[in-house]
Amino acid sequence: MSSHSAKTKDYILKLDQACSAAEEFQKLFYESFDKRRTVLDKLYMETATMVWNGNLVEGSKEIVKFLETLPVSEHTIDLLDCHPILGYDKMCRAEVLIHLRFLLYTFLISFLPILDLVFKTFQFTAFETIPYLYICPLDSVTNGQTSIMVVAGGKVRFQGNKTFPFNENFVLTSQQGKWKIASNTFRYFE
Amino acid sequence: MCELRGIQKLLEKHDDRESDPQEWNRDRGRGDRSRGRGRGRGNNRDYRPDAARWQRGRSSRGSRGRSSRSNYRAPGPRSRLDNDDDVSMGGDDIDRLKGQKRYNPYGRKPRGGRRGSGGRGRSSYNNRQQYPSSRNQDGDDNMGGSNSSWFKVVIPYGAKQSKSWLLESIKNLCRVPFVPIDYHQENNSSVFHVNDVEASKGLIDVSKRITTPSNHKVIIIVRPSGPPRGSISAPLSESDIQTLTEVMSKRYDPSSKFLDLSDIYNDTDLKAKSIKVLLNQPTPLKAVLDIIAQHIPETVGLNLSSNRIYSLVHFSKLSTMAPNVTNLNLSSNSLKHINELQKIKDLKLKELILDANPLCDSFSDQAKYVRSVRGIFRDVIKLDGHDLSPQIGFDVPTTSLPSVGPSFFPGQEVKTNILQFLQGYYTAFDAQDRSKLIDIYHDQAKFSLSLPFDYGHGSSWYKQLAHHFAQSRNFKKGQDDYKKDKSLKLIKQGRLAVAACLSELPQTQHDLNSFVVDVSLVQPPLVHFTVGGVLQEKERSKTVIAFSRAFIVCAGQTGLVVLNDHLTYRQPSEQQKKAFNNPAPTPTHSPVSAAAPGPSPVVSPVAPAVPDTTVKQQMVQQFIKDSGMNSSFSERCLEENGWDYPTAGAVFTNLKNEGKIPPEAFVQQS
Repeated sequence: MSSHSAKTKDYILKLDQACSAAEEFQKLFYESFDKRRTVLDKLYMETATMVWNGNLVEGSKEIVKFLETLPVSEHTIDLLDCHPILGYDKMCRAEVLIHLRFLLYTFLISFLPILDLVFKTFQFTAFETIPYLYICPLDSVTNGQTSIMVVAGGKVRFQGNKTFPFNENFVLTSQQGKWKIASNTFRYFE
Repeated sequence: MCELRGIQKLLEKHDDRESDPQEWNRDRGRGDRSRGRGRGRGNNRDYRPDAARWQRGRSSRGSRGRSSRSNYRAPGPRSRLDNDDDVSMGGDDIDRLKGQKRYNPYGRKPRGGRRGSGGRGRSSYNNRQQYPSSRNQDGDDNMGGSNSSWFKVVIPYGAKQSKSWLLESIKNLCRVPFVPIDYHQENNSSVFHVNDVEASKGLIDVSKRITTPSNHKVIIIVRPSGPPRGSISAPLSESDIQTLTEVMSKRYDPSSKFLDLSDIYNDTDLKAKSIKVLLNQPTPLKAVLDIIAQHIPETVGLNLSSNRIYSLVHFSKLSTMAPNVTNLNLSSNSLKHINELQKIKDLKLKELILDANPLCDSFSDQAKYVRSVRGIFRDVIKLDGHDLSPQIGFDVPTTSLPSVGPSFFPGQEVKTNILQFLQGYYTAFDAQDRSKLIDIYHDQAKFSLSLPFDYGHGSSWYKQLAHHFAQSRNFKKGQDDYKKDKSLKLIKQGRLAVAACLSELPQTQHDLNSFVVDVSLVQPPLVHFTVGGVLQEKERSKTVIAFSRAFIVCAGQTGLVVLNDHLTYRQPSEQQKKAFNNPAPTPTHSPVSAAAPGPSPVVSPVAPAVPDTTVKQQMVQQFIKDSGMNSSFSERCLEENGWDYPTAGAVFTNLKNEGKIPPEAFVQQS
């Protein structure tokens, strides 16, 4: 049990770190976007891809070139969230386990209402430990490729255009101790 | 009036002016002189109170506007004195009117004691200028003030009395017989019009002399006005339109494509047939604009001067009806603010005349005036007959936004897979029971839901999503540690937690037609994509919610497995709300039947893969082993669940636990 709670603590720590990174990133990204777009290329991985309202742009150089052609902008962010993404290596291992545990799951489904109740009663700790106990002895986000997904939303006004609500998604991957954008989608709500 | 004639002359000299600005000034001078002469002689019109007032207002405005622009004279106390001189030029008659009738012809007491005898003229005029909009309502600026003597009679609380009693009482007391026209009620007041100066005076005298049965004094307010609206706004008849068309064709010069509609109300031909074309009234204006659109859409120049136009709101269609108009004359109208021009800003005007409109008064100097006009019509090169230096722009590359594209997929295979995944996912999501979704999530899948943090500022729309506020994981909610900590824990981690959370969300109906998918990263086994669209919650079927969902999925052997799932709800745009009028067919419990109908632009009808017979056989065999049922029951169970092995398994387990599976199902057939 102690190992599980240690894992939980570790997990929360990672979660917290990821969210701090997201907050810092959001400030940096949108401030640079509105004021100094040239520095944005440092934020993108060289092989990054971006889909901007359905237009694909590939490579950090191309992305910044594309972003620089956009009119002067003003972002107001009212939504920010982030998730740690599981490392690749663990994912593959987990894949194998999924098949083995199929029957166990189908069994568990029938207990969903009860589990629900348990979650509610024990709140967060129960949340984290139960899945570990029954299902997954895997580590949380650890070494190897650390990635997070950042979701930001708000309103943006490009000069000469109307104000649009938008949603933007980033996958950030750490490279030599720096977060870099690996993938980025931007879409208006319209 | 003479001043207008001067302007009219100028218009005729239009071509000369174009070549020589000096000529313009000479013309102006001539105009001044002629105006002066007219005044000196004393006008031969009868000085009705309203007419005099109107005349005075006009002349002082006109001269101010002119002095500030053509002579570039700085405004100041001096120019005001000039105005007063102008008025007194009118002779004794006007002075008499000024003193006696001008300030109390309407039965109103002079307000406040601050108006001295000397300052009365100006302050009254200022009042008039300060509150022009209320005057518009009263029809004060309608055509007809100077041509006919209409008065609007308002009896506050007159609606409480019967019409016959009220009119009878007034008629008994009034020394002048009168005919009430267009009697109607506005709010609590009774309103009618009279077109007789004497009657109007008589009516003022009656004010406060009648006592109602309820012991209230009847107050009668009389104001000069335009003709009653009811009579003007009546649509023109066929023959009237025919006549109007003929008049307009006479006034149109095909060689220069110039249409002269100046003072069309007083057109002799129209007057002969008593057709009233008031360009400040929507109905006749529409008739005129329709004729332009129908017969002469190629019009380049348009003269609308002297039509008492006070609003351009109904001219906004001009840019579509006569898109080539580049030369517009609006002089001698009653436009009160430069922003009126915003309503016709779609016209690509090159020449514009705004002279002798009240709006000219609001500019203290020429530069401001030109700047304001150019702020609306960028390309104007000639304003009130002056050549303006051509606008010198900057050589900036016009930065426009790239157009918003449809869904983006990096390849056909990815497209098929993801669409298939989404079809299945949302079918299961919109179903009564969302437990099937559990199989799509990874062991350590993460899910969270976010709402933008502006619902705190009283946005009424977000109140409809109040039931989601507690679950909303949004770091923009608050900066303090407590709130952050709370947000942190709102993430659902692990397959069961996610599935439990999803099944707690209210029942939904997604509009598959609205879906837009962007796949931005395919790096096997990872795929990162977002899907946006609209949905409705079944309990609140009137609320359309826009959503955006970010998925990170891992391509596994059993299909796509979700690692991260983030859902955003947001207020939809007007367009999105409309989109839901045509929703996709209601998905049913089984993905197979849901996939058949409802072609959607984005999610093409990809039927979830129904395995071929050999695979089916294998599945049945496997199912027999796992469940212990015989082959026919196993096959039935799989078939009913669309050959979806995990689902069938789940259904079986459920039924078995509830003891609903008959014992013969476990009897193995030989």
